[in-house]
Amino acid sequence: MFEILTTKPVLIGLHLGFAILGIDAFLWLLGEVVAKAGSVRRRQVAAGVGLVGYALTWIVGGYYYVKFYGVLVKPVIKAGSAPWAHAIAMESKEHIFLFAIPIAVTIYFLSRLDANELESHGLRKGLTGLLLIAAGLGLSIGLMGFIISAAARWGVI
Amino acid sequence: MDKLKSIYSSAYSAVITILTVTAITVAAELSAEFKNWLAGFSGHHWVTKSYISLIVFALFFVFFFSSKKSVSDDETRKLLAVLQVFAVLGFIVVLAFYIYEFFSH
Repeated sequence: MFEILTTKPVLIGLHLGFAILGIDAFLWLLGEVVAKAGSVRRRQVAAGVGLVGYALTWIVGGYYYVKFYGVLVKPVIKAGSAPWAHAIAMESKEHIFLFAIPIAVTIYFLSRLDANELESHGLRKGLTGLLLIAAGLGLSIGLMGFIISAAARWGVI
Repeated sequence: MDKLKSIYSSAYSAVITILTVTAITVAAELSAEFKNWLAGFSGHHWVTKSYISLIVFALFFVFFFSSKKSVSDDETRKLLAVLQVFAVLGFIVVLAFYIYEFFSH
């Protein structure tokens, strides 16, 4: 089982899948906050799924990056028609992602406040902004990932 | 766990973590020695940076959470705004740095 899970296509699929799960969870929570929905439990589930999704995409993507990307993919991109895809997109992606977990943890702590507490503490706007940033980070990093994959394909054609 | 204090501590630690990651990222690209030194800890510079980001975040969270008796709504609100600004600035700085590095070499 572990052998299948650590093959390159499965790792890429899991990396992308967990990232999508995290982004969707933060967008779900954004909807809850904007709608001033009452259920704290639902907010915590959404924030927890977002945090776990981002943590798992980090671990799986990191394993793939360290074990396969540098040896197999990076040389192809650098020798191909879009070497900037590694130099700009990959380098930025791998480092900007390190912002995501601290932001996701902060969102989780904020999700423990119900709609009235968020309003009375004046933190609703702050949580909304952080959720937009968390989802935006995930989406922009996903875009960079698409560019990197496309550059690798062009590199071998 | 005090809800407001945990939000404050987490947001403050996140700001410091973003600053640290951005500084280490730029410094490692400007100094091959520093990059190799980072790689020496785990076998890969990025893995070491990942560990550093977790350690910095956890240490400062514990520090702020244990050192503050209480936090006000205003302090927490301002800190969330600061975190948003630093997250966006960190994104721009890292991306702009690598664009500059690519076109300058």
